[in-house]
Amino acid sequence: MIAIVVIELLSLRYEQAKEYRFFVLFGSILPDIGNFTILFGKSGERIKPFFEALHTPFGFLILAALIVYLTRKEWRKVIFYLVALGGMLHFIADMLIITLNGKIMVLYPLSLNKYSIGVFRQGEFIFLITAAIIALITLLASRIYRKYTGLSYCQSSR
Amino acid sequence: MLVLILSLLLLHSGTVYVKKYPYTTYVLEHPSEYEGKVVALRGEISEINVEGKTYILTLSHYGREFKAYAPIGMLQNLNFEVGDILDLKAVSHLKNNYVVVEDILLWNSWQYKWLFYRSIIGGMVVIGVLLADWKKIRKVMVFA
Repeated sequence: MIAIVVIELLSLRYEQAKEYRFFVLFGSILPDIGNFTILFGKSGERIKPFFEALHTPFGFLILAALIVYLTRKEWRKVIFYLVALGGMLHFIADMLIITLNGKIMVLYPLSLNKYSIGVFRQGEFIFLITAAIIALITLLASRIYRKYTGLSYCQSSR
Repeated sequence: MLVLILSLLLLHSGTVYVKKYPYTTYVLEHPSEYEGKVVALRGEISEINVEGKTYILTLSHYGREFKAYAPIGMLQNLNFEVGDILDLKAVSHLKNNYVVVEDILLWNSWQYKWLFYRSIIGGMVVIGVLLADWKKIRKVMVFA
């Protein structure tokens, strides 16, 4: 949801931001790729640590760098920035969660210490509702801004 | 590219072999290492008892049962019941099969289900955007 809001705001300044929103959204869920292990119950709990490195900024950036090899050379830099932006938004949102041992190993591999700002408890609907209201207000405000400034969504592509 | 892949593998080995931070399963399987220490634990409530000013919850995690002692004031507003799952911050005495609860980090079964469904919803949104923007995305991909 945060990624959607950021794309909307970016598109006010950079017209093409909305065209490549997929990469920001993709980046924002990529660090949680290890979540599929939930499907495997106890075995899943055991293999989840193998994906822990992807839930660190450094590990994520390496994975993002690998993924951009799937894109054309001239686009790699831009796509990397978009995927990285999505990932960093994910980490910022995760760091807001109240945890015992911290949430993100920000300095990994230099340190295994986890850090968290601790604003809300995971799973709290009040946070989800607040985020949804902020997202709705932003989208509405953006549309009103576009209407009064004559700014339109970019339909062209490079 | 090879350097990136090797770096990623090295990073993976780092998180797998250095268990400095306690996972629930790890704490339960190696209780003596965490005796008297504050740990994060997850367990499903199988029994609730009240003794004086203390709640005694019987929790189970992957078949291992242990008691969790918590002051009434900490839990009275949570409206929990048998079957709910708790994430606890607790002092471990798991050698003797109990923990002393310091805080509840997350509780309720639907909250855990929500964590799972949230991942699915997130994935579906991204797939939806991928399909909607496919023509534009294809232009930047190597296989286009």
